[in-house]
Amino acid sequence: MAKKTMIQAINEALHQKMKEDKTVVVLGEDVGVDGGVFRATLGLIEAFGESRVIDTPLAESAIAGVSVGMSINGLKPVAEIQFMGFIPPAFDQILCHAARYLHRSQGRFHLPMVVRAPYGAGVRALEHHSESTEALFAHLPGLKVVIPSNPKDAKGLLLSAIEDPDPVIFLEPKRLYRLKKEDVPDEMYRTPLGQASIVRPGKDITIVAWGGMVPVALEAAEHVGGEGVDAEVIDLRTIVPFDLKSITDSVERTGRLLIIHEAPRSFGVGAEIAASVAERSLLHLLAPIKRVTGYDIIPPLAKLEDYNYPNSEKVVRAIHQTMEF
Amino acid sequence: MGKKDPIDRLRKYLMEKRSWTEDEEKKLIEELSAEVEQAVKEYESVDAPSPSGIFNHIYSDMPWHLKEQLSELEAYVQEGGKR
Repeated sequence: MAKKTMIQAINEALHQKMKEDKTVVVLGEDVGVDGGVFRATLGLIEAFGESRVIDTPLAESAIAGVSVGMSINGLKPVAEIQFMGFIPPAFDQILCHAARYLHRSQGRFHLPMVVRAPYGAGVRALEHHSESTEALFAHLPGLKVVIPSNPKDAKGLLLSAIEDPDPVIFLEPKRLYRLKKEDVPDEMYRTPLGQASIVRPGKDITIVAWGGMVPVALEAAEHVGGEGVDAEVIDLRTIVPFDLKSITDSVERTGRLLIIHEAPRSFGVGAEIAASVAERSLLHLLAPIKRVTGYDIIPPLAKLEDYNYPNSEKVVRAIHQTMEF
Repeated sequence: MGKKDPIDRLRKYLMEKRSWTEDEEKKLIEELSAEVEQAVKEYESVDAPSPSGIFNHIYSDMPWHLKEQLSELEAYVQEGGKR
């Protein structure tokens, strides 16, 4: 056990899994010689060689398409898309093929591929480097979507994602890549997909968040804790398939639900969670379900970025509104 | 077909070169139409699979939300719901 950043945890997962399983292959822009622009793939090419750690041309469609082909033919590709904002050229391969091969072949071809991408804002980046479009992928049957919020989960979830027989979109909150060092077990362990985690138990209000929003939720929960409001924070961890039961169980105890995501409000993952909880737990609700989200805008650039990013003050206000309903 | 249709142009070219004839064209069209007709007959002669099949092979293991939706569909069909 040692303290590691999220990037180190991801790197460790890749090293350990590639050592254990020779069919695991890494590909992407700058992942080899450079070790990845965020150093997520540092040391892999030295350890495993050029045939397993591939520096691709600048062509996301090829990265995704080649991953499809590799996984049909018995490899387990872990593709890196350098920023989530660069994913659109890969979208065709992901939607039209990765998500569908199992169905198209009626069960004959499993695609155990992972597409990793740093996502989200908060790092004063340029255009296309702050996207949070998990809802686009969540809406595609056949894909799984996973978003860790901390180093320990990042390693365990990535290992599970690589071992999953279906295509997984693995989104890493880049703002949290090096923000904190936390205890991460040295050995290999798996954190199951499809399972949320209660990171702060509470009884007055349920807050659901994932990725970069989990620390924001926890900060807000701390703050209102000082005011006598006991917030329960749930880290969703997997967006598809999502652990609705953990949320409804919680809401049936607290009676209140707040969902936080930096992605645009309309048609986001929060809407799905709100609708599903309203369908099942309506009579337990003491107040309307609330969402604190990014606005329905293109992610702003550096000087105004913070206004679009749900912060703990916005969350605290939403908690107050919900409690005072 | 337009004036620039490449298939048309190739046909004309081959016919000019005496590598393709009207008779061969007619015969090929008949053969292919028969093949398509046969395929359609086979398709129509087979019973539709069970509706719940639409949920198969979306994922390797059916997640809870698909199981739930599948039950919905099965109940609907059971109660005589129309397609």
